[in-house]
Amino acid sequence: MFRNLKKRSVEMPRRGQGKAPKNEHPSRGGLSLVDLSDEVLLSLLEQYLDVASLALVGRTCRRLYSLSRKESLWEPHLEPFLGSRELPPARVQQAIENDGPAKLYGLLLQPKDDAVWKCKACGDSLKSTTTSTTSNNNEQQQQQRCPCVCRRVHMPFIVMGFTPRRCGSSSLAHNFDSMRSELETHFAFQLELVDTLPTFTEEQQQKQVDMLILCTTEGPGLSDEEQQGLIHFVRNGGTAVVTAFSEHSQHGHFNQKLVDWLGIDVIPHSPFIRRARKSRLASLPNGPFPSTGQFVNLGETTFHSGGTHHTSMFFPRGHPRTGLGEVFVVSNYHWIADRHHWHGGRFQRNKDNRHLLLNLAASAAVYQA
Amino acid sequence: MDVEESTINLVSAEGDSSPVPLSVAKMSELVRSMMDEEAEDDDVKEIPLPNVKSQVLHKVIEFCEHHLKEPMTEIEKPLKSNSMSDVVQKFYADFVDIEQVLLFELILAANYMDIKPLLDLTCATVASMIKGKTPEDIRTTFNITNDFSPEEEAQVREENKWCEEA
Repeated sequence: MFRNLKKRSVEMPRRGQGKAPKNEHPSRGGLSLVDLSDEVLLSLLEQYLDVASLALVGRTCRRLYSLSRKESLWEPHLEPFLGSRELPPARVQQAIENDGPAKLYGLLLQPKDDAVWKCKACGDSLKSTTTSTTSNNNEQQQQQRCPCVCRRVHMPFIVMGFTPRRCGSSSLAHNFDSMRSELETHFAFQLELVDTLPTFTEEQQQKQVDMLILCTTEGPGLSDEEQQGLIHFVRNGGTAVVTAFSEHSQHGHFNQKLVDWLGIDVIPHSPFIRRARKSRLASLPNGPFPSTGQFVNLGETTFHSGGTHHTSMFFPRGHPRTGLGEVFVVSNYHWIADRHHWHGGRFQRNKDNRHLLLNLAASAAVYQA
Repeated sequence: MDVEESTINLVSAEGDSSPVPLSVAKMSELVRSMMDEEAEDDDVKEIPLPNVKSQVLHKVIEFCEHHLKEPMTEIEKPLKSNSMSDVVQKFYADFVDIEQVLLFELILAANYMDIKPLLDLTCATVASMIKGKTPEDIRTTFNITNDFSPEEEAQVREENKWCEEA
């Protein structure tokens, strides 16, 4: 309905046009609010308005409506709700794509009884309860297991990554044996290595891959088509692990295209943090495996997001940038590499790393069906 | 003995020249960068500001001069009050108690001259005029034309009806 909105942007002041009243009255014939540039208006809306005022100012006219729908304005207000898994992902996606962030905010404000995550694979039967009558006529509630648990036995769990030809030593083909073995223990794991990322525009392509693990440090960066494929895969429910490593980059792109669509800026030639560090992330996915909300990585570099430096970030399902899917952004793959790889992989020696990867995989298996 | 600070002339759109101490002029990142670019030219004593009218430039200079003596307190975000006197010191609250046209011209000038505290103050003032108002009140305040079709308006209202329920 609003696709043809005309944008007005006045960068230069106009000449004064007669006497105007004081600022509590409209400036008839002179400069007004809608004459400010998009840049200034967005800054004003973002910095000084509370969430209700932001929504209400969007009701005044088409231009302010268009500006007030910018995802970046709503991210700080939506952030506290996201990752709580209290809203069905289909409704999140609908709200983001069709109705805008204001609608999504309203949905998130609804009582929790009306907003519950549902497993796309099992229809939420894991959480459903059945009532049976015991021999002494007492009613007893039984918890059913989620059929999607069977998925890990009966259905292939496919992780896609790049070949050694495309990404050198970051390829999962070699030196990630412990990680692969762990996934094989719990899932019907299959590794699919490609030179070029598919577009994921066809439903079949989407269904055939559960999880992407991507790094391009030693190879060419993502092409525009590959980046669109990655975005499409994630926003339709996929789980991706990507790197924002930026100490060096053989082709000079510093993994920018793997992460810029998430609002992340890599910092070219960012220095190594040489010692191994524990990172604690509040929104790391919970799942059937023990979770401490932390993991250990080595040789990290930093990147920028929202004016802050990070070494890792997790974008949960329902985040405006990831839609139905989720993305774990890390500095590098030391955390899942074998002990001897590079200057020391951390997967075997750290159970938090193993549980984090398994919970990510479980989340991918459940929601990617 | 006090050494008198050297000055530079800021020249408005109308060609009026205002002598301003360097410390005041350099609150503008635009002026600062123009002076840096011309640093080797000793004769540069004028900075043309063709996008800023004389009346606006005088207000800008008044702000910068005062800011050097009494820096403005940082404005809490988002705004907690509709009254700027609850948000900043009296001088700054009085400074933006002006005609709406001049307020918007100040915003454009602050943005053009890259004077962050002035842009903060003027933008916050506009936000204080929006905060807590209904869409109709906002339209009236800023003389905004409602260009939604009835169907569009109904859809926008539906999108954020939670504002009314809250």
